Amino acid sequence: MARCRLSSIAKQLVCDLSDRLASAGQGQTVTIAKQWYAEVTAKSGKANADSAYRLYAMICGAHADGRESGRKNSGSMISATTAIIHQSEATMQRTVINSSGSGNIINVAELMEGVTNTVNQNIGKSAAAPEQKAILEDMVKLIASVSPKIDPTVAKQLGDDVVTLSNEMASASPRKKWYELSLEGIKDAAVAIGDAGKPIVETALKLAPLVGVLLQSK
Amino acid sequence: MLFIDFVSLADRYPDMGAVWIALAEWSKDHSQVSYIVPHLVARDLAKIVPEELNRAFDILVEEQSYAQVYRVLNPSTLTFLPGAWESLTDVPDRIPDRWNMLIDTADAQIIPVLVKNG
Repeated sequence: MARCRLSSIAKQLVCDLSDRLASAGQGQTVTIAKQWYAEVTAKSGKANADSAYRLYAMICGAHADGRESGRKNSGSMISATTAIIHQSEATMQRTVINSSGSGNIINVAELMEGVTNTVNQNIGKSAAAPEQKAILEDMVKLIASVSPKIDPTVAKQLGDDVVTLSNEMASASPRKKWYELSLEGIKDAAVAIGDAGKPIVETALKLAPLVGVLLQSK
Repeated sequence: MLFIDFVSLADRYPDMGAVWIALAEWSKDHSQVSYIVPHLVARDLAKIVPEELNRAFDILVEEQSYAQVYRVLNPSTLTFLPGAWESLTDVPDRIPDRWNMLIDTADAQIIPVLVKNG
């Protein structure tokens, strides 16, 4: 495998990590990354290890978003990094842009379209009380509207939880525990995004007693 | 809200003006975020060379306003699992998700995240 031809210490560390991960077998990715991190910390200090790992994550940003299995993710992460680190500065940015595929978590609009469709379908087939359905409908609209402005991972979490909630509402025998977990998840994620999440928290608090769940307001 | 004084940073690190401006704009466009996921910012700010952006993040950490922690993405849902660790080596082999199912982290994606101190 071609070695890196880079100058800065951080980039050399990134190359080293990339080279090591290129030969990682299934289930070894994190072990190897931890080993690399421990070595760098011992040799150059924690700050440098943190910085180099951060740069690695930034350069191969696609690795955090792939929807493939763990091993495939590792592979794509490595090839993305390897491709980037052997390029000139001028072409580096283009590669980073290209690493963002349409199947990524980052495509919040697409994600929310799917969430809204699923929830609306579930509302359609649910035998729940009209008031419950109306609140759920409001909730998914609020989540869809706030999602483009927040961290995509939080948007995904909100989307997953509202789908779970709607699945349960559409079920012939809804399980209270699932209502509880999904409503808690929605409330926690909405609280974490601050003011923008307040209307979502309110809908969760409004819906909770109607489905027999005790949700703390704070 | 990230509560970062970009004006002061631009004054003290004038050679990085373009990075601070880009970060300030990003911060304004993402006023609801309370922590930074560097690789997502890098993707949004593709015009900025990753090394320069990383240097800006180094400064945020060095000046004690932010700390780097490590979080793990659930391989199935691609959402963060509960928990954050100060060091990559501290990330456990298994992490319970919100449903108390143990998730193996052997091939999981471990993401550096910058959180505000205090």
